[in-house]
Amino acid sequence: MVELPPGQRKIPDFIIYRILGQPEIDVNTWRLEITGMVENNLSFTYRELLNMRQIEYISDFHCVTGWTVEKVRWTGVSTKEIIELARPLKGVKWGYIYSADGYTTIVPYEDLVSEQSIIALKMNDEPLDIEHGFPARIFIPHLYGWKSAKWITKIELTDTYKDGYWEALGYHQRGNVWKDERFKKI
Amino acid sequence: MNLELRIREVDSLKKKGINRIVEVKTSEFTLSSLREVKEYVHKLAKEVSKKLNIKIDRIEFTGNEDIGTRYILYRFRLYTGRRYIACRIVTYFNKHIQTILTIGE
Repeated sequence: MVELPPGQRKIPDFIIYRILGQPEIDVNTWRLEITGMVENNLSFTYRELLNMRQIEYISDFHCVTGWTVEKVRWTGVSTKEIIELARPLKGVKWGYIYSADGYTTIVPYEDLVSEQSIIALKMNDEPLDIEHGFPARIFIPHLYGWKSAKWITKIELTDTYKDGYWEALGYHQRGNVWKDERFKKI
Repeated sequence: MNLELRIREVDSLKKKGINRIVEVKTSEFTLSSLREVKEYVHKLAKEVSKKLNIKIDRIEFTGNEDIGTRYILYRFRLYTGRRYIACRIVTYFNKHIQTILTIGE
């Protein structure tokens, strides 16, 4: 039996949060940009992402509120691979992630480019539902779900920390599920 | 209990109509019941009134929830007329770890 992170309980399906509403996405005009401290600013269409090398694995999803959905199959592009194409500059410490609904979050660079960090295009072998972030969401298994932003449009690499949406409301800078990093200490 | 209030601008909440937050710096203390949390919020409201030069007419407890099994998030509203400042207080094993107030436009 796989151990759950501290303070988590299993539930059978995702609870859907749309804190800033659900954006309307035109997949023909949607782009994912990689910008900030990079040699090459890059922009990818949905089709281009689908044509890149896909990785796939099964991992649990942990919401900071305390629920976990087990054994979700994730398919998409390695975040590390896509960021390396942009040639990040020395000194990058954070990835600031923007979504189409105006949501933002921030992730330490080492977590952003960790082995299982993925620009997910599919969940359980199906393209993402709009509620789960179609056309693309980031997923980083060892961080709480608020870091795995849905409907992503831009990843900006930076050397300077700034709060995203939930971080401004006191949630943790990193959010490691195994360390119970839910809130910052002020 | 010393309460140090630090106001700062935030961009990431503007879509929600929030442009400033107040972070409350304090020494560690225990909040082991809703009654204690309410007493703390009343002290806090006095400091907020002084710092922001506003009159707080009414304090409303709007709810609390468990965040995992060790943290509890309490929510209050500090009313100034028909508008309010939202207040979020977090405890960890009943120790206060965080208070954040959000101020709308």
